[in-house]
Amino acid sequence: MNSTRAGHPRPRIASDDLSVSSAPAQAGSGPDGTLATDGRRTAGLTILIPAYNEADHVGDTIRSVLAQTVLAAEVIVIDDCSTDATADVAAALGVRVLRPPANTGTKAGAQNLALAGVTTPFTMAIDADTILASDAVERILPAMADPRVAAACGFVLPRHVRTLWERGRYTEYLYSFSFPKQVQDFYGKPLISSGCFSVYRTDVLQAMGGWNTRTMAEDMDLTWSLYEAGWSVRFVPGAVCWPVEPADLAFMGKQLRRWSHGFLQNVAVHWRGLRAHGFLASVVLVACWDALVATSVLFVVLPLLAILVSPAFLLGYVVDLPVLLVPVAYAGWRRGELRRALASFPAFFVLRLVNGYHLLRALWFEAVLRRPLRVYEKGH
Amino acid sequence: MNVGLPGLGLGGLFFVLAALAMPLVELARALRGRSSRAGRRVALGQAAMALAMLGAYAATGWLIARLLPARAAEEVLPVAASTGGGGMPYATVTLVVLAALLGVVQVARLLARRPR
Repeated sequence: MNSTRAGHPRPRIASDDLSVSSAPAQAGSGPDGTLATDGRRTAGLTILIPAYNEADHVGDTIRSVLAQTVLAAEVIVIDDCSTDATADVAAALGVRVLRPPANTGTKAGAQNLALAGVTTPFTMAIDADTILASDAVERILPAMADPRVAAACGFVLPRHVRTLWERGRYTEYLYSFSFPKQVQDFYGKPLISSGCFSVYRTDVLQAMGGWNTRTMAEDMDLTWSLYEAGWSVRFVPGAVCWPVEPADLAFMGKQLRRWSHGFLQNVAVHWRGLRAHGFLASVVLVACWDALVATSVLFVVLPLLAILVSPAFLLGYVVDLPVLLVPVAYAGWRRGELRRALASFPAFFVLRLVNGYHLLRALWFEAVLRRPLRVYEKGH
Repeated sequence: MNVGLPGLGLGGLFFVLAALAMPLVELARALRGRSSRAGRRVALGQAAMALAMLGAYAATGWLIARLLPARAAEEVLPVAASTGGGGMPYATVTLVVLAALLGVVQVARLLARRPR
């Protein structure tokens, strides 16, 4: 699962918070069970991994963290009262495990529990099912050398690309992270610093009270809050991670429901503060327009035209296929995954329909019925 | 997380136009002494991607017009090419709506900056 390196030169670590040590600051087992004494640099970084019943995945995540070319000063797994062996798996790999007295109910709650005790200049949050490319930390940290930057995020791709839903998500991420997100970053406003893999300036994060639990999308809430407070956020396409994405419709639905509600909740919370940020406000307003109009076209207008005028209007569901194929194929080719990208492409159009349904449903519940989603359910 | 309907609707058009503008923005930055090699590379790369996407859009329209059976083309193309609003082409209406939304954002920015 190595990413290609074309177009992404090796970063120079300029941060004053990197120090050279002959052994990692935290004595933990490397991937082969031995202590790492290979002179890898240690950064002023604490990695937080919130986990609830992630025994199947957290081991791989921790091993990917311990195998980084630049090590964290500390790795903390927050075991949110799991009922499986999550804590045992983490402890066996030598990382610190925190366990709250009761389940916090959200990923944000778990992360905030550990954040209070972080003393390193930078804090990274990774999902318990997310593995990092071996140089992900090394590549993302230079973005924090700019004192105006409070957070940075990386390129996300699904860890498994097998089922229809994973393939759809793979295509969606290839498109989103190779085109719109790079445009957003150019204009200084990545829409979201992804919760599955982001690094933050610790003092800024603590001053903001950590991750807020008022919405179902705490990563979007934090990103927009940072912008409103005058901070910058960067997207670093060379820093790659692979989370586990929902493999079936049931779990995909849970995730999409949370994301759709989370987006609308954040619009309700932040719309006043976003007015001063032209590009971001434009992206959000256009997304809101599409949430209502584009989804209505998908589910009402096109079917009606197909029935009443001509079945040829069903072409409307795939008419943008060549347009989307351009960035997807290019990104797949750059990554040495062109065949996978092309094979996965049709699945995207199915996923998009499901995404549209959940967005419309969220609009109905949040904006019309005023029944916000409050129960946090992960996608697997 | 991702939001919305990637590639579809006004959002897709917005990012294509934003990408096409990137070389100009980078040129403005260069004139202010704020350009970088990485920024120029990203600006040109994304603009090239956007141009390729527009080319694919045009090719799709051409292909659909040629591959549709004559009867279907008569039914579909007039509806796709025009709207009830004074016969304005669909593409023009889309651009007008996008411009209107961006105008709303600019007005909101001005109001947000107004001293209280």
